[in-house]
Amino acid sequence: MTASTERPPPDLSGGGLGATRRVGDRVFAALTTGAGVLVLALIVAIGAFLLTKAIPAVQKDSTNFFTTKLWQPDNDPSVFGIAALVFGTLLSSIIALVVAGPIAIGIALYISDYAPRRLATPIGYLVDLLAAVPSVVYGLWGLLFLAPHSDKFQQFLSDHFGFIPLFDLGKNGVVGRSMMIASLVLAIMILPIVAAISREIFLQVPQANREAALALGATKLEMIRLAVLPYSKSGVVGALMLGLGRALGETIAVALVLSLSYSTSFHIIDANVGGNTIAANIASQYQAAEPLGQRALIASGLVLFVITFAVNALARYVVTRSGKRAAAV
Amino acid sequence: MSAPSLLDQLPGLGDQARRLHAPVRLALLALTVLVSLLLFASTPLQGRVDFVVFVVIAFALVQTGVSFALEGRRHALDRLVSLLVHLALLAAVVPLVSVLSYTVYKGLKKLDGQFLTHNLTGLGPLDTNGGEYHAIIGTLEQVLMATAIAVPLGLLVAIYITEYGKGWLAAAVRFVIDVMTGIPSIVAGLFVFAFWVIGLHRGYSGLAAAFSLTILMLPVVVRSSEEMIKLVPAELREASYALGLPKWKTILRIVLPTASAGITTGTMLAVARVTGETAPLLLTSFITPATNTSPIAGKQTAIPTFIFSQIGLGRPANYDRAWAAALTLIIIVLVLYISARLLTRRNTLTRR
Amino acid sequence: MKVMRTGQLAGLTLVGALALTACSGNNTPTTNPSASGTGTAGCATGSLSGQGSTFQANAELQWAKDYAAKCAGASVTYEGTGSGAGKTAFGNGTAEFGGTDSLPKPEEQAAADKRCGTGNKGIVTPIVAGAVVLTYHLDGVAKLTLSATTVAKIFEGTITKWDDPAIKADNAGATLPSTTIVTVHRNDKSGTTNIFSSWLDKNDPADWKLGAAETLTWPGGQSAKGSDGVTGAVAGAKGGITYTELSFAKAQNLPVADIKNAAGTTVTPNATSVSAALGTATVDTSKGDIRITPDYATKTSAAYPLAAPSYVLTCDKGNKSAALLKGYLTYALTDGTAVLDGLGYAPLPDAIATQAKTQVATLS
Repeated sequence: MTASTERPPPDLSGGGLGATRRVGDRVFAALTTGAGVLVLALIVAIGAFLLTKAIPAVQKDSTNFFTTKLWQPDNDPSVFGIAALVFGTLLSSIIALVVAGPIAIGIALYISDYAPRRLATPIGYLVDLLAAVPSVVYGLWGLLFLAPHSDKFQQFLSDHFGFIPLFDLGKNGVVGRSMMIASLVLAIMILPIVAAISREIFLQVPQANREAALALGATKLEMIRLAVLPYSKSGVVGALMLGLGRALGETIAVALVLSLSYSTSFHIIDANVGGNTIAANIASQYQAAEPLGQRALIASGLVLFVITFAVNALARYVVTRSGKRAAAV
Repeated sequence: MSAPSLLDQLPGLGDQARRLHAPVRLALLALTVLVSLLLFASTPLQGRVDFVVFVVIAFALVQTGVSFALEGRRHALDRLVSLLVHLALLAAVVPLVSVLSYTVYKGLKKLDGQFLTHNLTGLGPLDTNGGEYHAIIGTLEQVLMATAIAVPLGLLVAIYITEYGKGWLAAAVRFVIDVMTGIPSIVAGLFVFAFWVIGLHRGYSGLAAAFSLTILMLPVVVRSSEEMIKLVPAELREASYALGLPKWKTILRIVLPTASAGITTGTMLAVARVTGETAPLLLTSFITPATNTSPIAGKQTAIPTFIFSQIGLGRPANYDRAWAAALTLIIIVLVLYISARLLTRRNTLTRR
Repeated sequence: MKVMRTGQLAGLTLVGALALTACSGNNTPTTNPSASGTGTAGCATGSLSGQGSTFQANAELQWAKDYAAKCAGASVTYEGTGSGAGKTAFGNGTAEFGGTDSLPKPEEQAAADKRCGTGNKGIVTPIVAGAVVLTYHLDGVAKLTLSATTVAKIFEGTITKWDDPAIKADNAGATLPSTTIVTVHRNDKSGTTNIFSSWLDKNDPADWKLGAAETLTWPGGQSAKGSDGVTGAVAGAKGGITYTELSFAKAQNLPVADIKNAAGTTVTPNATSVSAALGTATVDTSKGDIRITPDYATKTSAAYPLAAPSYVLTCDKGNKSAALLKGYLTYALTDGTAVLDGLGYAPLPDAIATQAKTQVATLS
């Protein structure tokens, strides 16, 4: 999970003292190349197979697949679309990122610059533990502990900040298994990945830069703003995007916590409004789906695949570039 | 704020400003708590959580205010950010502790020998006994199979990337591995479902689940192995080549053994990650109340899907089973995770 | 590497430990005192797997347990996966029988016929009857009566508080709190949703605009998956109300509302009122099996209108483990009826039950 400086291994492809390449070498080289090609083939196959099952389903859709908010693929005529699902996927992930991002960056800074030396690594591991907890356990906890215990908090938001549309409960609203609770669970889940990558990026900033800033009499905050952030900005952006990618695809926790619906509402604390994500919709609809329904779900999965692929590819690009720059300082 | 203007404000060495020392800050905290207690006792404010939140906000305000008056703007800001950074850590630790402790508290109620050695067959709708034996079997088989496929394949890919790969193909493989770490697990499940379960009419099976887990494990194994192989000192290889060993033997006999501790760590972390996966299993091995020891045919419950289906049933007895299984799962995952970390400390190849 | 070996050793020990408990982990069936019928008449050995409708799941689970206790060597499993999934699973051969609340659609019928082999066909047999009830979570209100119109308005979202005049009118003299109503509906495809919406559609099409189908476009309200899911959600939400099978409400210890039927009588859902309702249903035997169309607007004063049968889908001939299937289904229709009331189901009306038993006897 690190964007390390790449130190190329010594190239001694001749191998050994004898100049002729032996059969063993050729076989082994072919084997490893084959494995590499297999990975490429796998990702192409994933896209291709989802596509072959998705296209016929979308053709049978009696409405526009991209703009319809309903999901009734097994009805006659078949009606389904990903509009509400994409909306919910993006909304929940963005809220999760807005909550988790600053916290994760704070944790990363704590480990790189604030924690006592001996504690930094163990605390890093502790935060990583958050990533070790299985998503179904987060779902269970979110459903049976977090949601019931945050009724008061959500009611508070509605009472005092209800003028902000996000926290407007309306006349018939009810707090509970709302979009916000689902997003908070997502936030906890993406916290460790954003924190871990940001931490690596911060640690790559040479110590000398920090010392120079401190020598000028900078406070710790000024040191961070002078010596750390300028060299890690794009890396942190990449880390946030990787966190976003993780949130977009999270399935079980959302499916368990959120009251699923096909709405496109910004009233995130109203459980009567609820919401849905592409992944959670697959988990909840899959079991009862008939053949066309299953293929419709595959089509929605393909959309998720494309979105996360794009987000992750961009994030990796940004992280790698930033890693190289920070190390080159 | 741009960097030069900030630089201009720096006082240089020998900053002799008055400082807010630790004992003073402690006193401020005590004062804040005391006043908050009084407020909570005499006004409509109430609740333990509310109290903590109130104290934290009040202390942040008080400390920043006092610091501003005594030390000036720069130090006040510095203290505020320092407090926020510590709170950020707290914001991660609180949910972690909450999830773990609540699971232990709820899970212990039901987790016993009976629960571990029975499945869910032969139970009436109102029975509260039964257990997760079949799910443990399922998880073991599926994860072992996934590991057996992903580790050799992952090692080969890692060797390809570090030792053989050149040009666009190597770059493409590296890129794909990077992106694969971000593939949503449900998409991996959907692929195996589309390709294997309904595409090739193989039906649900532990093997299908293992395939989907392999897709999720592979990039983790590749990346960690790649890192470790790169850390093997060049001198070792050179010595091996000097002794006349061909490259492939050098890799198998010298490079991999040297990196093995690190590779094992990476593998264990990958295993820990996929052991908790639920979504792909729903689509590939599905759920059954019976024990299915066959890894290659028929529906097979794993611990995560056991939890998911029990939550869906929604009665108190089902929640008890779900919590007990969640505790089992957390124990398995944490044991894997912590032993992997302990192994890291023994690892002689370190970057820093 | 020493560390690796210890790791492998630990792994082996774990596998070994589990292998040592070498058993299937099956629970030993114990005889249910409420299940009548002893002796081993109608017993067959082997294993049988069914899946589908969650409507009949609780009854199936109890029968499977009791049948195994009665008949040594017989193992029946049933998984409540939903009617659609049950028909699909039967069609592609992954289940020996399917449970379904809805009659097979043409393509489902075709898949079932194909599975049964040339010359054979898939047939449905009613196995149990049940009531779809309105169950709610409202502290201090143990008794509640609702009319179709009120229910329609509640689920349409036009009635939003429990002390709404319309609810008060249905419950003269009752004290109702001003709690906000939390409606909970199924978010998966569901035969239960079909029964519920058909009832509203038949009785009050003016107020109920969502039509009758297995999935609806809900104007709001919370949702959950499966009969268990919605009842669980109501159990966890003050002010909650949902529609589900009586057995699930009973399992959660939730109160159940009485319904004002088309005759204007207030009826409690129970075995008698459900059987009374199905007594007025139309039975179609023209397809070589038994297909029932309930009358959701029945004018019989003792009838609870939200009543429906649930079917098993089997082959007429060419069933796998036919002897066990016959033995088990016969048990369900005879001795098995003793457990139904306790679980919140109703036996089929006598006329239909006789037809069903005759049909099961011909399975092979």
